[in-house]
Amino acid sequence: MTHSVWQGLPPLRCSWAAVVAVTMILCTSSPGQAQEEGTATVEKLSPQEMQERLEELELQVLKLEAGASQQAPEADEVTLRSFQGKQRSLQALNPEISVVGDLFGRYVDSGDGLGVIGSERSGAFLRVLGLHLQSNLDPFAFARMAVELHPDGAEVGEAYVTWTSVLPGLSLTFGKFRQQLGVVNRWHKPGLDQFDFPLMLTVPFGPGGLNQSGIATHLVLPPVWSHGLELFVQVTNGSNEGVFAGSFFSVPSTLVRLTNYWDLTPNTYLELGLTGMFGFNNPRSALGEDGDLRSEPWRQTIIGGADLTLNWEPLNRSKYHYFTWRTEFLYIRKQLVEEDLLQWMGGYTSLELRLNRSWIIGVREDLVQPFNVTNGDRWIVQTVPYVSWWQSPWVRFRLEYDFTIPEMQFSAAKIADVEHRVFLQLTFAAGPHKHERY
Amino acid sequence: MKRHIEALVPALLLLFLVSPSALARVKVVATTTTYASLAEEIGGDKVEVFSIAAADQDVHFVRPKPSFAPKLAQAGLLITTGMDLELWLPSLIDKAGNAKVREGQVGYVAVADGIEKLEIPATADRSSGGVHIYGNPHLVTDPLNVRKMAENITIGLVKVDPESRTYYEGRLKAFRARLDEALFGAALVKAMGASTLLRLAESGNLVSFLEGRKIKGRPMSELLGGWMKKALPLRGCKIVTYHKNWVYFARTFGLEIVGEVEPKPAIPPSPKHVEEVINLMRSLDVRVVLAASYFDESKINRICTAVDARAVIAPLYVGGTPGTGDYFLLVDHWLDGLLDAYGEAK
Repeated sequence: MTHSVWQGLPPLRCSWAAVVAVTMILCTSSPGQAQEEGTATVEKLSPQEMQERLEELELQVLKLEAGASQQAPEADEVTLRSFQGKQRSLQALNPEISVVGDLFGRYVDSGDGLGVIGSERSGAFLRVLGLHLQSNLDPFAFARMAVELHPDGAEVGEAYVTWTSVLPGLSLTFGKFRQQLGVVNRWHKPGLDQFDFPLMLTVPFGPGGLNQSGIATHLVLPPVWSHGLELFVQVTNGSNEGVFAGSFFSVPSTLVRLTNYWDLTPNTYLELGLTGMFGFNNPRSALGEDGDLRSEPWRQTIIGGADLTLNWEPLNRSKYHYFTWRTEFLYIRKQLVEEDLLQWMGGYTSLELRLNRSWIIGVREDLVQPFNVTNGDRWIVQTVPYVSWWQSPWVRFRLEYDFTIPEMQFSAAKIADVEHRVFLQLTFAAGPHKHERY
Repeated sequence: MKRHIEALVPALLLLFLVSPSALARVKVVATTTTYASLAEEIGGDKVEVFSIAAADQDVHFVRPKPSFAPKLAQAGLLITTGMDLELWLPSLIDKAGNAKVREGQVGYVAVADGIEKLEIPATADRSSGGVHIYGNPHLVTDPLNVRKMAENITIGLVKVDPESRTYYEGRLKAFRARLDEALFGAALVKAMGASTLLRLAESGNLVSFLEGRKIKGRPMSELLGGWMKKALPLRGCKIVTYHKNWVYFARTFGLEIVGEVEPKPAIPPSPKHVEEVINLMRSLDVRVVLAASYFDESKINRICTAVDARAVIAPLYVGGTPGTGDYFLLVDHWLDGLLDAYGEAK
């Protein structure tokens, strides 16, 4: 039974502690004088002092018992072993790698019985396998890269270096990046709320939205009239084929965005973004049909945009519920050859509701003009209801129906054709991070 | 009149010279309300503290709202757990553009530093759900860990405000003394000293050490007070928790966690798993489920109804419910809730 109180303590502690205690008592005098002086000391102490002394020693013993560590005695003989330098095992310094996969099954129907809409067919497809890498480069900068592997090949989705804190509140990015044109253009496809970007981005800029190379600054401004104020300035190659000059760009395009943010309540916020962009769309340094260097007057492209997001998310139930209403609008004015002018507008509004930890429902309504000069009173309308199920934070299934009217004239109440698409999408993330939207 | 004005001049001059430093409080941004509360304990009137996550919020899932960026941009000190709990924080730090509060810089404190972690996975694999590769990051449920956190916060404050070192260290000493007494009771701390008791508590041997030993002719266990004494009825009690929030708490106070409502961390409980938990609780006669207040209570209530168990829904962080305005009140709240639940369940 005595040993039961020594649970977790090393064996022989009893005797060791006793030796310590005795040693401490004896140490009050030298060996030669122990008996005489010891007797004298005991005689000098009153019974109460003796008791206190004993209790003090008792405490010392208890403390030693409690604090003693179990140390093996140092051996005189060495044990032979091999040594590892690990100079070629520095994997811990590799960039952090995450893989995002995006697969889908699609059914298409345009009412003609062909089961084809343009180049889109029914079937199962791999949309993208994204390789996302990030790493600190040094104490001042970090890098992010997104390599997108498609069935048709590979491309660099993003690759940029960011210097945070260049000045207080100011960061600087250099590389290829998705531009801050509104809200969702910044996101990668697997991170979207719906299967694809809104038509507002795909019709003028192409299926990938606006993604150019250049330099970007981000400045956190003092929140003068709101609770968060941010300024983005991005100067990039005008390499987008649809809106700028494409591969024969010369003069950079410039984007300026101001994001205003208000916390309406602890659970609700409102974000208003205003974006402007300016660039040129005529190719420079390109050869004309006659083989001479083309020289033509500057043709401007001007883009204006606004976006509004209202989000409600109860803080103590943020895993289970939120509601987001988001609306974005873009206007593009593109000067063309022979003084033609393309004016275009488009936008969308979307609602999304998280029902519980796994289920999300939503709908998006797109309304855009065709991106050509004869788009007066011609519209493309699309309705996109969807339901998403998160198996876990790393695996998501989505069922989405896209109802599209490719050409509609409000004045004539005329609808030519309709298109139906049904998607069953699987998105997964392997590695330390999902694709971050923030 | 002139004399009055002449007398006022030095006073005004002094006020002008003194006020800026007196008003220049260290701006502290903490990721949780518990760290904010600790910063206030140590920093006193020399700090101005803001918490990013609300007291009843799951700190795994915080939306890094733009309104946090200006706070962080102006902060002199950022207090975070470290490890891989607040994965949303790096992007917020990037956005704020404040070089002082970046990882490794003078204004960055990871409170987990120096604390022995539990549940460090042998292999990091998502088949185990939301694994934390550096170990379980829910350190705040254990007062022993919080003692170390207070020291780490003090280090951070001294680094950014070295002129007030004596002030912060004095407040740390007072906080530690208060926490030690709250943990072990004043009599035992006086007799044994805090460091010995802390070592025993960290190894899980405090109660067994005290049992059967005598001091001054009295059983040592009679000297035990504070939370450790209060929690004695809980020692050895079996419990189910919703998430792995409570492993440090259970280690220190002697509870035995036999299962979780989540099948794996971050994986929502399926009906099948809920049935398994119910069967487990029946077979082991587990009568209490403990959950942080930010979890869905419907599954917990279903389990408790099925096995006639009691649910203890408690905030994980300071201020998560009325009456938990500091860490001492919060630990009392946890223990009172559990003692009531086990009392009712008997």
